[in-house]
Amino acid sequence: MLLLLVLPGLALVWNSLAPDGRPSLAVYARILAGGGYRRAILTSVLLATVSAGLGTAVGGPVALALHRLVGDRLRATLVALATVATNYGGLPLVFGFVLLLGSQGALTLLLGQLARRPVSVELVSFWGLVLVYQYFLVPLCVLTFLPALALLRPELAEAAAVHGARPGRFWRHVGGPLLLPPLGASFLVCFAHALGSFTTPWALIGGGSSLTLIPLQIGFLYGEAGFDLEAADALAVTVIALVAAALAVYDRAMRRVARWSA
Amino acid sequence: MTRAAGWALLAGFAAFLLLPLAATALYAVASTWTTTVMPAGLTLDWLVRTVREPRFAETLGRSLGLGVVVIALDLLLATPALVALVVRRAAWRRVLDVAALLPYAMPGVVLALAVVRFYGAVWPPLLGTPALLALAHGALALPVVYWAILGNLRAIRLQDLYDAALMSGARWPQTLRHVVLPNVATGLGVAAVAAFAASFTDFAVANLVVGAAWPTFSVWQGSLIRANAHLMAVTSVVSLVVTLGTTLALLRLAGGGAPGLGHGRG
Repeated sequence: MLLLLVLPGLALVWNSLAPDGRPSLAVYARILAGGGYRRAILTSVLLATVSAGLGTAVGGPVALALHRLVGDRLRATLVALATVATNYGGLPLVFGFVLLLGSQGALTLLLGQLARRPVSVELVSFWGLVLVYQYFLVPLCVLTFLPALALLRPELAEAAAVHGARPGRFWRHVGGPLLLPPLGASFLVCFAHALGSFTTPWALIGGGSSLTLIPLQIGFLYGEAGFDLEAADALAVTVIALVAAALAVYDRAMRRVARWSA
Repeated sequence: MTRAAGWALLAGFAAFLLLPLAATALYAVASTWTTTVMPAGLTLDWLVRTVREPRFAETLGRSLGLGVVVIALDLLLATPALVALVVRRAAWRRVLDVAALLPYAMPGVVLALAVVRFYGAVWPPLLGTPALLALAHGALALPVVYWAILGNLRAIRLQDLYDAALMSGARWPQTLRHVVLPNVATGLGVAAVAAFAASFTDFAVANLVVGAAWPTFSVWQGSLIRANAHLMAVTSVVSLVVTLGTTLALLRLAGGGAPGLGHGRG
């Protein structure tokens, strides 16, 4: 029964590997070789890496602050806010950002008034996209990393202090190594999420820029253009491969964590 | 990290998340707000106009209805399969683990392409129909449904309950109805809400599978975002309300221990 829904995925992989019924990697060679497709792949991977990296760099400390500083009720509220943010659709999200930072955005104008000269924020750009991605990536990182912080039991810190270790040493030899795998796992989840995003870049860029991304290419090839479907297949499989690889590493990392918390 | 720095970070985090929402909500009740930092005036006109717009009820109804269908589809498919698996064939669980996560490894647009290419070749009349979209959304929501139900099944130690029921002489359907279902109500609830949320907020899949032929609420927003900012703002507030409602329901049902419920839909 569940296979009914899983079958299309498998069919896609097969289709892209065997156009015209003959197994061939030619289409992969084509999309990796050069031109628009290659640029889309590189840009997508770069965007996902940078966005996830930034999201993790910010999300980690936020999770730490949430874990240590905040009472239960406030924490629950912030967790709820974070969950809403990760589920908030790309269209309303981009709209909200354009209201704030677009060419006529409220914040843009405010900054211009403070600086006494017009300020322009290029939201439709690589870095604009990175910024908007942070809206769901930082909360995602916080939500996936927060449970791991429970591993940082106070007894560990106490034990270290009893043995004469200063905070710096604790973090280097106990806290850091304990938390690095879950943090890496959060990064991978964010990476996978960012790589596959379609709605947000579509809403922000919508074909009006030289910025190409894999999901946008797939959408364009199938939806509006209806040609070169093999390339669409191959691009899709590339995404699956990248995400699956990221998730596999994530799975292994989380298993190590599970051993330690048992 | 000092306490002050920690609090500042949290405040910044909350502000960052709330600002776009506040701006959108404000725009929805603004008369004009184009070249100034604050709106020129406030009005409820846009709210009224949006609700009166025929497309509003049309697309909202479609999205809500689709959400319900997806819930039914996934729960009906997944529950018996998972129960049977947990109880009878633990060996298959590994296979099912991987199979159920496959849609998770396929972000929206990839899943949409897979569904369209596959059914386009196997059963062409299905192309471009709401039924196909329901199937696609079913696949989209499946990993979360699977996770929610399986988590519940594992937590209640189904094997023991099943053995006890068997020893008391119960037949399989009886066991299902009186032993299993009452105990997985929470898991089913979480699965239902998560599936609904995944379906309602999706844009990528709906756009690719049916597009303008059968616009969902999100697809309508896609046409509004560049055409009419005021309507877009109001519909965004509706989206926010739905997202907020489903999130609160989820957190209540799951008891606050459910990280990572955001599905790949960015």
